[in-house]
Amino acid sequence: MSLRNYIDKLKRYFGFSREEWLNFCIVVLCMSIIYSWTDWGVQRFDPVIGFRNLLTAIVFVGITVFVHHAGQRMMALLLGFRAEQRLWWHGLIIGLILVMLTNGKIQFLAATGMLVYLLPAHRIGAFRYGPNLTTVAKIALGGPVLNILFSALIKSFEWAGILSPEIGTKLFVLNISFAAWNLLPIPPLDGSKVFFYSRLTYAFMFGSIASYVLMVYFLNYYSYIIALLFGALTWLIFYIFFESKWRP
Amino acid sequence: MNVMFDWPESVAFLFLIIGIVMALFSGNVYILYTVCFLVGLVFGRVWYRLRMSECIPLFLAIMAFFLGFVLGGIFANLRVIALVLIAGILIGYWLHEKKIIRSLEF
Repeated sequence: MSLRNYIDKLKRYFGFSREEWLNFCIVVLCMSIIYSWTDWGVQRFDPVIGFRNLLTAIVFVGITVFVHHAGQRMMALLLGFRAEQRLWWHGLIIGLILVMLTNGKIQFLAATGMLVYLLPAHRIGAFRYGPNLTTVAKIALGGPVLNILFSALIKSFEWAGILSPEIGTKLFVLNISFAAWNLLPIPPLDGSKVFFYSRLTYAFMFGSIASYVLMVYFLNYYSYIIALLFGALTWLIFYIFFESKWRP
Repeated sequence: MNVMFDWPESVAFLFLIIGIVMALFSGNVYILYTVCFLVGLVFGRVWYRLRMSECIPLFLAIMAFFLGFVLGGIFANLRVIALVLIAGILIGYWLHEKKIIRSLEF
């Protein structure tokens, strides 16, 4: 596929429908409330500080969710499909309940699911013409992976002095947490699509991303290579203890 | 106990535990009522989706959750909890019936 063809596909199919924009706004608003739950005052409840933090959270969460959706849409178009994001109401309400019950300690940031539609003209000649578990998993992974790459870009900007450390750190943490939450194997989250495609691939991906998140949170250490090594280790452990013993 | 046959009771018991835990973890009555309303919305949605098939197990689950929530939130007003939960269920159901929120499968 030529670059011109890909750009044409982006122009034609990348846009959000009216319903998708509505869902996007609901997701961003609710997730901003979840994200800014602990930012409503220092000593006591302060609505002025709270609303200011909520507005900041809306911008940050909006960017993060858009990057995630864009990653899936771009990946889908690359493979000759069109991705559509839908709102997962249960996830949204579970997130709100969890943040209230734990007083902001658990911020469950996953409330969208993805559907894939075939673009017949763009799949002509493709091996395995229709959508299958492999293509759906690849498309689903596009979102979290772009979130991770975007967070790395943000961190690089922060280190280069282009972004302030306050903004950079917040966006960075938000993007990697969003990617990690979305990789849980709960339908209709992205992780479930990868899990149904291949348990070993899921073990590798989840191991890599979870180890990256844990390294950043607890050790303040940033390394894709070590994260991938941890992913490979998770893959090996999962293979030895579970997959090799599994019989249909 | 035959789990395949008695699964509605098992699910109801699980919801009883969830209700108790949720009520115990909510620090004050406002959080308790809000959480109760949100859970009611979820029940309303599930009720709409299962209205043609599994109403009885869902009713059992709702009642068990309510009982658990009342037991855990003994410090709160029982009538308010009941009203908020019913309001949540009815609003959730109404939003789906009027197609304001669409009930879609993924």
